[in-house]
Amino acid sequence: MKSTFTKLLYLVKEIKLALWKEFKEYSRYPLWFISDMIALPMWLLFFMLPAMLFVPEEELTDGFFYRNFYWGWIFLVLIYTSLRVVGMSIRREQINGTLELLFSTNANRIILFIGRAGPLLLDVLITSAYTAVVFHTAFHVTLTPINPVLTLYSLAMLVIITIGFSTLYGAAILKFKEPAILTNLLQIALIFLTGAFFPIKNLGILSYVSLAIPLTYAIDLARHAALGTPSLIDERLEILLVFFLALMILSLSYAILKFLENENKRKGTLAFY
Amino acid sequence: MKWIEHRYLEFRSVLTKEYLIMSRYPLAFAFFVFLPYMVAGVFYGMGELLAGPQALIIFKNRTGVEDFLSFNVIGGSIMMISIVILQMTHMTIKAELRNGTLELNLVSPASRFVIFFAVTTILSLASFGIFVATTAPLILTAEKISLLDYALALIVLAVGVLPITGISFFIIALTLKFKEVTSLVNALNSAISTLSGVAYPIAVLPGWLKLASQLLPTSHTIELMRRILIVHRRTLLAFPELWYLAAMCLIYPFLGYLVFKIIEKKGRVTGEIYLY
Repeated sequence: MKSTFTKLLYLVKEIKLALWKEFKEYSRYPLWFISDMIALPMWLLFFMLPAMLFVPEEELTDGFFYRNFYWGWIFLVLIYTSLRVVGMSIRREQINGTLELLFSTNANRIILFIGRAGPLLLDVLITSAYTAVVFHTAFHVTLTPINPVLTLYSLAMLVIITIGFSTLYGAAILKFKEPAILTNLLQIALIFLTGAFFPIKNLGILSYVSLAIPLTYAIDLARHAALGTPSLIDERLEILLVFFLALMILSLSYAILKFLENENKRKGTLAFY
Repeated sequence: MKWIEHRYLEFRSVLTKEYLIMSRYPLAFAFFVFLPYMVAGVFYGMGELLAGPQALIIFKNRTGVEDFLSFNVIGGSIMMISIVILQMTHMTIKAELRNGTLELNLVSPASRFVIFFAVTTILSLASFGIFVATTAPLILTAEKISLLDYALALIVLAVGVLPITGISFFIIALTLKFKEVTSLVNALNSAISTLSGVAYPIAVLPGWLKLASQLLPTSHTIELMRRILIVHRRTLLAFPELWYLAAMCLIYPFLGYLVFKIIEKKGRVTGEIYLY
């Protein structure tokens, strides 16, 4: 029987290895990084500038519109990035034919693929800082969050919850092999329904669907912390709720992934592609 | 005479080959035609969410744009054309590199310029198809657009596509040199889409971005198209945008070909052009 300390040590080593592998692979393609530095802020402007023209000019003077869009964009990029962490890694290993090798080890199934989060999140962090500078120069607005600690906490929870969704996507890959349409739909639906750019009450009757999505609460807390918008429920209660939702979705998705892996192994369909 | 005949045959064969490959994917063509409408819908939906039913009135007051759909669809179609030409040029050359068929072309006595020019030509022709198919619903439902307006718009498109072809020669050179430049092409497309005023007048861009937008052929093409098809102004030669485009028609293809020639010549000596 391994002690808890030994188990934790193994976990840390697995994370270290997963991160090392992904950083190594990412560093092979410096053009990716340079391109992201150009493309991400450009797409942000592409969507923000027309939106700006729908808002009366006097509403732009206090800078809330720009802050709202900047933070909304951070949420969008984090969701988009985190969704790629586990699901897309499983897909890539499946295409490369290395999935069977990885699944024959005794490493934690989420940790095996979580390394991808390292370079992707670092990329988001650097691009966000760089975009904030571009925004400040172009529109003369300060983007500092109202409550930086709470913002960091809610963003971390947002990433964990989305990685949970990404694991569910990974499980779907084991089941359906090619769920590209599912990913696209999931991305669009999550960004639209969770109110990354606007309060969910603007969605009318659809806001009830939003309330059933765990990510909505993490985004609501992040908007509250970064922009000062009123939270859906009491702030302290929402902090706790988001924490439990993150734990719940991660455990649930892990269990489903493990179950489908075992099913595939039992039927001998894991190697099918 | 023989030389011209050989170049013509080379051009025709590459054009036919690329056409046959392209015709395998009619759905992709339909997607490019549909996308400008989808983008217009997304922006409209975004406006509704932000400003409610007043959205279009506010947009009109702030930009002076009466016809929101035509304004967006014209911008979106030129954006799609630029994306198709640049992205597909890169993908075609990359596929040839990956499949090992580029070497077959390069060892043949065919002119390299003709081979690559035929690739960009078929994409330019496809872009005319995209434009016609995208704008057809607008033309058929418009009250005022005449055939002369449309013919002028097609002339502007012909002039506007040439500098993009020049940029695509630069993309070919980058692909031959660095092989995996998909992300860079995506970045270039994002910059072109954002700075060309696809869904907003260029005037709303912050200062230095406005300056950068003037260097893009798509900015001037979109502006001219809107003047002809929405405002019905036909005095083409009086628009400075036409002269900017004409200058780009000379400069961009020349620069693109120059970069391509340097990289191709150097690549042949070092052998890196054949690597993948």
